[in-house]
Amino acid sequence: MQHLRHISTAILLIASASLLAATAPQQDAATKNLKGSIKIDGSSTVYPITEAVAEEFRKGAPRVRPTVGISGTGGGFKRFQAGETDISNASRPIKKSESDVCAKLGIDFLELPIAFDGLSIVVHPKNTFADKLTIENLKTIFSATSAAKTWKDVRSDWPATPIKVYMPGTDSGTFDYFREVVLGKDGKVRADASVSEDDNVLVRGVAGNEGSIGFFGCAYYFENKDAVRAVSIVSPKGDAVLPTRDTIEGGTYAPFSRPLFIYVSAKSAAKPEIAAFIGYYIANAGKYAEEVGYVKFPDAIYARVKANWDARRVGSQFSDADGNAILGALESIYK
Amino acid sequence: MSTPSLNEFVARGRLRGSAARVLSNRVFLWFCLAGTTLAVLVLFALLFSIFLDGWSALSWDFLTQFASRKPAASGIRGPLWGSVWVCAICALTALPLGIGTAIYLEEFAPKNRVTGFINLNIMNLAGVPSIVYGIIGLTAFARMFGGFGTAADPTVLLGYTYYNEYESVDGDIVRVRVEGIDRAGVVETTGVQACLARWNLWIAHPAPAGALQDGAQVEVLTVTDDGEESWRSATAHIQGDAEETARVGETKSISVSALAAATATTQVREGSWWSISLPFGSSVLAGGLTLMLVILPVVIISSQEALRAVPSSLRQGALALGSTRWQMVREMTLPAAIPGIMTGAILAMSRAIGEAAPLLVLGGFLLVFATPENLMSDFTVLPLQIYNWAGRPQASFHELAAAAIIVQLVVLLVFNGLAVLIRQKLQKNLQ
Repeated sequence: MQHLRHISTAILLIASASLLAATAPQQDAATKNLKGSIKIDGSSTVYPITEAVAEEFRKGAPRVRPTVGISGTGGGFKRFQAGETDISNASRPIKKSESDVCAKLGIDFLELPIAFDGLSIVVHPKNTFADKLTIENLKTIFSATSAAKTWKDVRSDWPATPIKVYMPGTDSGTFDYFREVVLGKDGKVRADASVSEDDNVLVRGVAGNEGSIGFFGCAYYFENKDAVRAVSIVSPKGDAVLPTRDTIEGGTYAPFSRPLFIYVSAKSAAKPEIAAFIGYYIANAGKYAEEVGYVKFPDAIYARVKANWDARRVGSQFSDADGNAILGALESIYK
Repeated sequence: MSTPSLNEFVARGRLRGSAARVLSNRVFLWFCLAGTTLAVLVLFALLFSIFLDGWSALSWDFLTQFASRKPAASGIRGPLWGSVWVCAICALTALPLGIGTAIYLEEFAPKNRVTGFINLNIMNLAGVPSIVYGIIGLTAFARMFGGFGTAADPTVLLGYTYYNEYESVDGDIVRVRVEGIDRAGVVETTGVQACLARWNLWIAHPAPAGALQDGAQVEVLTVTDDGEESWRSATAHIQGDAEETARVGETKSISVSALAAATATTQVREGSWWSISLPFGSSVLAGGLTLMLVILPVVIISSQEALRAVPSSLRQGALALGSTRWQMVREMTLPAAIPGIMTGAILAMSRAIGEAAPLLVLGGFLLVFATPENLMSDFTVLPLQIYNWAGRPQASFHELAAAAIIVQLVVLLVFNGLAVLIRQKLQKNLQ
């Protein structure tokens, strides 16, 4: 019996090893001899994708040492501005104030969107009345000025169940994006919300309270579909859309399908090992993003990302001359 | 009036309001028991749930593999060794400094307003949240107040060896050591750099890449799948354009085309374990020193308490016999205080091992595909890895987090066991 188990383990090991060998990335021989370190820091939302890309890239370039940190989008940009990192992960576009500091300190950057995250608005599974929510409804719930006490305050034909709000911390890119879309740049969020940096805590919070509502990245919703129910969001076109892989990728899940980014320092991009890494990243971002729970871009967008990378186009396309963030579908903004 | 015996005293005491006193004695006993039981129960519940979650994920592979996006192939090799390095640096710096400060303040320093003020400040520092120390560490160690450039482009490099690398006709990497890099290789000297150059410190601008000579002794690279590099020595043979096809086949010799030999493809530097560059950047040294700041007040205060607990008759005896203060400290007070000092050190180190916040601020990385090799290596630690895994959406990562917590507990036990061993050994010496 014991022997049998050993043998079956061995067979499994061999099988998985050969599988690994078969799926090992095909990189040109040149990357084998590249040497150097690639320092990456920033958003913990983007971290799983970068982790996957770094892990696979290293198989073809064993002398290159990528290191990835999780200082958060804002913290990552601070280190990026100081010239301490080569690449910055970001779950929102760079702010005008941040790119101004970059300009002042002489850091040119390349902006590369890599995948979608569908910000999911979820309620308790027993809450069946809230079948769809408009941005106005969300504003009534989340704004500090209205701060709806019960669901009846949101729409008069809904029951008077008390509302309990769960949301990510104010430092996170997820929160920034939600506030920008629902409440505007300077909107104040209600003070009585339960806040946690750990999205699993938010999932448990929403699942444990019948009148609750919360929001977080789609990976947490896909992973917890039994515990929480996603609400359809009325898009600018007027349709109520649920967050699914198709609606997020197709751009119909608006305005909450948001792009995730990596920002590359132009100085670092000149190094061969980093150029090879970025090339590999763009070519495989969709595949690995799906693997870790995010949604890939349509091929047309990856083609634009690659074209911009090949041309080493610097600067951000997500804020206008006055420093206001440009919101809307990625396809129409990102050229 | 005869003096009553002890038994009589006890008997009298029982007679006087004995019921209430016995009751209060009982109540206090039950109160203590309830407190202890609650603490132990909570601890066991925690341990039980962690072992239940993490036991299945624990294996040899888990200890020897780097992190991966696939939970089954993921491991803690990076954070485990990072934690060991950082905590070792922290212990080696914090304990001598902290115990030394305590000895000075208790045994040597005069008791006046200045030492009183210092004591008060140390007490206050013990209550400062650890994330604040992270910010201090970032400014003072990782960036060095911006006085030495950035970590990516350090101003001062000490103890590094420089190599020029060339590519052979077969695509192998060939390297040759660059000798005599010193001020002659400095490209630009301004301000701090010029100052350091005067003190003959090595500067971070190595000599320009040179050409490879025919017959030079070189090293040839082989890389394993793990990314480990090993070098074998060989003699370089420079090929002219004419002998394109004729290659030297011996293993002791390696062919490099004349074109490739003209300029090095790249120049790399390799450090020994003690190599230092300024600023430290987010290296194990900066991490260890930051944790040192976190635990230093705790070490000082507990050592002071331990020294204060040593009976002053010991000191007076030693001084009366004509010993100097240092002899008194070395032979009498310090050995007598060691058990207390080590207990404080254990508690402080347990805190250091569990800290994530200051290292996160310092820019501690999370994904590192190498164990630390020298003081300037990038690192990650177990608490950071646990924090990240516990926050992932997939349940299988939560199991990995639990398994990492088990490993962390074991590391903690090993550290504490070592401290207990040291304590016992030193106590025997006293006797």
